[in-house]
Amino acid sequence: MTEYVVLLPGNESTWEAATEQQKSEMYAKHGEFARLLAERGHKVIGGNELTHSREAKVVRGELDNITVTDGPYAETVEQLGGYYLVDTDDLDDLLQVCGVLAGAGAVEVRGTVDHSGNA
Amino acid sequence: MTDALSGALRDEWGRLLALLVAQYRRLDLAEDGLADAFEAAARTWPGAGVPDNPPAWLLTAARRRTTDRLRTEAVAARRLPLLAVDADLQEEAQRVMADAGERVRDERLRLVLLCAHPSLPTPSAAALTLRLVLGVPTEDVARLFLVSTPTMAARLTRARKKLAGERFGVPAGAELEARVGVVADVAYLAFTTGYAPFSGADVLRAGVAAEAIRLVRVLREVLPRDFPRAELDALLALMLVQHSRRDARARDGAVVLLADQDRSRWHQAEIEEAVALLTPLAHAPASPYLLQALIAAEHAIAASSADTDWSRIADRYRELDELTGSPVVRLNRAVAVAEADGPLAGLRLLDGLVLPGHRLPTARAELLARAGRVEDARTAYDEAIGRCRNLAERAHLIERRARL
Repeated sequence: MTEYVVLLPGNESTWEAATEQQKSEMYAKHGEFARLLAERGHKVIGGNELTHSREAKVVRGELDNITVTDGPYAETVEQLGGYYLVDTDDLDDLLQVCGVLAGAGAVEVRGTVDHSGNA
Repeated sequence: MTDALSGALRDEWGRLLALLVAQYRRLDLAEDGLADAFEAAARTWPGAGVPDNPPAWLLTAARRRTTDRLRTEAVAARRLPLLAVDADLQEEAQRVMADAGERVRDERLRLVLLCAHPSLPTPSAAALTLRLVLGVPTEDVARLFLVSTPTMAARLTRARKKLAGERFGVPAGAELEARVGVVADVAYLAFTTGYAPFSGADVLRAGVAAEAIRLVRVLREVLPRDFPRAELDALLALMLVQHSRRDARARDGAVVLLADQDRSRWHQAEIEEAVALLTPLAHAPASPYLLQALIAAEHAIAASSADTDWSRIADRYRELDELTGSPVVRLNRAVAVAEADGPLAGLRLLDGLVLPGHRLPTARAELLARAGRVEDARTAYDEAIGRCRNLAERAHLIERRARL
């Protein structure tokens, strides 16, 4: 099994302006995603929605001598809005299921490096 | 640890700490000194025997340690600001020896109120109260709040530092009432922390809940005689009823819903105490804790799930809804109304409700399923699954959807 991060970039102002109905529909898609992963043998081991990137803090400097700025590191329209951690041995099928969330945008899937030394 | 010592730790910690704080005007010093005294007791009592007056022994030992520390500190020249303590109280605290026959003056109210200081965020106040007033070890407080011991130790230190320089006193009138209100909320927060689903071993959860109940009992004991107690009585009743179900609410690591619980495992003595507390309050003005306690008691006195008086519970929830305007209350009210008047009546109450998290779509899905609207229920379940962040609960939702 390999651990993958499913990164969900998106336009935050669109999400903020969405109606409750649209948000419900979006969450239902996430529900379908989680359900399909379970049905097809992928294991969700974590994940969460992130707060708006304006809440982000960027830290520079070193311990006990830091500079903190508000806002995201990357100044782009599309910001990371959430992520899932999925354990699977079938990347191709995981990518298929990610189609549920991609919609008009895109989803980025990245493997994590195995540091356990057993590989 | 000997029985005498663990008994003293439970009963005397807050009392002795309050006295030391009054004398030395520093939370950190008082706490370290008292912890040292208990540590010394754990070493010497088993061999030398338990002293005649354990609290007096502990107080003397704690003072000696604290004085030592003060000397060291004077050399290191690093001091925290002092708490403001009335001169006569400080004098009294220095004089008291807690020797045979003399009662230790109970200053725990000051300590409880200090922990409920408005400058502290409620979770910090709750942690500090468990540590200072009830003597719960930092390690256990950390486990109760699901953080590591160093994290909790740092949080407690920040909270103590924030309080340095504040008043160690009992405010009057409205301020006292406000402060007691905070303590009540702190106790209830600690209590519900204990009962958050999947938040650790059941034993531990029951443990923190029992400590929170103890805090409310201590508070009722140390408040001035003429202080209005209705709200605290209602809170204690609410906690007792919820706590009485502790042995029935989990089976094989999974949460058992109220309707499916084995009622013979509910602790009847606690339910009886709660009902006795609530009886004089039947016509008291409605307050959130009182209404919640009455709802909880209504469940507790029903012989079976089917015998529950749902229309009365729905009425209580209507009052609570009107009083608080909280979407969570509206959600619970809808569930009660669905039991009393059918799923469609419940669903109507959920219309237009906005609530983050998965509880709202879950309730909607279950009522839709009960109303036979399977397609709509599936969509609602999908939304609930998408909003749910707890892996165990999410798996449970996926299973329920599959069973439609």
